[in-house]
Amino acid sequence: MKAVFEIIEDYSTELVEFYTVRLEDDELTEYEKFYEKDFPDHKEEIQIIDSIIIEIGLRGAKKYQFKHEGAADAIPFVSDEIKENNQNDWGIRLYCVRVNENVVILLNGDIKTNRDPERCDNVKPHFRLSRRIARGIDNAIAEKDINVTIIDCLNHYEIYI
Amino acid sequence: MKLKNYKDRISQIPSETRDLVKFNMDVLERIHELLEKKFDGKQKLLAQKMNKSEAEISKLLSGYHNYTFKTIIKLQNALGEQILAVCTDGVDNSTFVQAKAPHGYETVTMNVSECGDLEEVTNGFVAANKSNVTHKPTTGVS
Repeated sequence: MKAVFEIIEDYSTELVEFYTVRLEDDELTEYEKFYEKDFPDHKEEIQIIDSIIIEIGLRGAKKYQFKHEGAADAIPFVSDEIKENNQNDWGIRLYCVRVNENVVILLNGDIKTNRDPERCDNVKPHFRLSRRIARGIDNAIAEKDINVTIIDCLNHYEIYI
Repeated sequence: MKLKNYKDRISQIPSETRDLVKFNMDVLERIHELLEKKFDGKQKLLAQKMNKSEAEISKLLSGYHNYTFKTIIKLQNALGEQILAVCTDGVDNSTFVQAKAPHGYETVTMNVSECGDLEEVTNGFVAANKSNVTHKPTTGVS
């Protein structure tokens, strides 16, 4: 399956470029699919996620700002407060790939209903996609196909996952 | 790629939420700065000092939290320096020596001679490493 990277202009700053991917000929990119979802019972969490992305853009994408699940990353790391507020779920998880301090790929996400993402039908496909994208990026870096230290490094770049 | 109604969406975020996330990240950044300074960035050493497991410390030092004062005090004691300081009439035990430059800015320490000439002494905070970042110098005089 072909995945084409696109820069998200609204979030990107001089310090951090935020990308997403468009799968095959999908009308929406993966992040747009998440962005346009409605989570009526999790409105504050969505606002927290938006605020976290903005803050990351201002200060750089540090490892400790993300939750690491294998090769994939997620925002936000689940806090005790969010767990307390959500009696029936584990809160919203936005899957992403932190490439380095200056490059982050935002993907799709949903409400997590199980501690293990493989056991949650909501997030499993997004979790798996993020791992495949992370592996694809790792391979492209290892093969020197991309240089993630330069500006606009991933825009329109294609990988097959 | 541009997101639909992005400005509207962001403008609807209450300032309290934005401030809380910013404050949270400031605290997290300060903790990691002290972890690097005192324990060479090794969470394992901090865990030993606090009699906690490495997993507990890793969780405490990652992502979005609503830290309690109790947790902050415990971390401060283990790290040996203050994470937060409050403007107070009491004795201030703060070890902070200077305010930091905002993200993306650079500070330069200057000496002022008797006749008022400015001379750069050392470079201070430098924005995160990226070759094409445009630094916006702010001159602090000390």
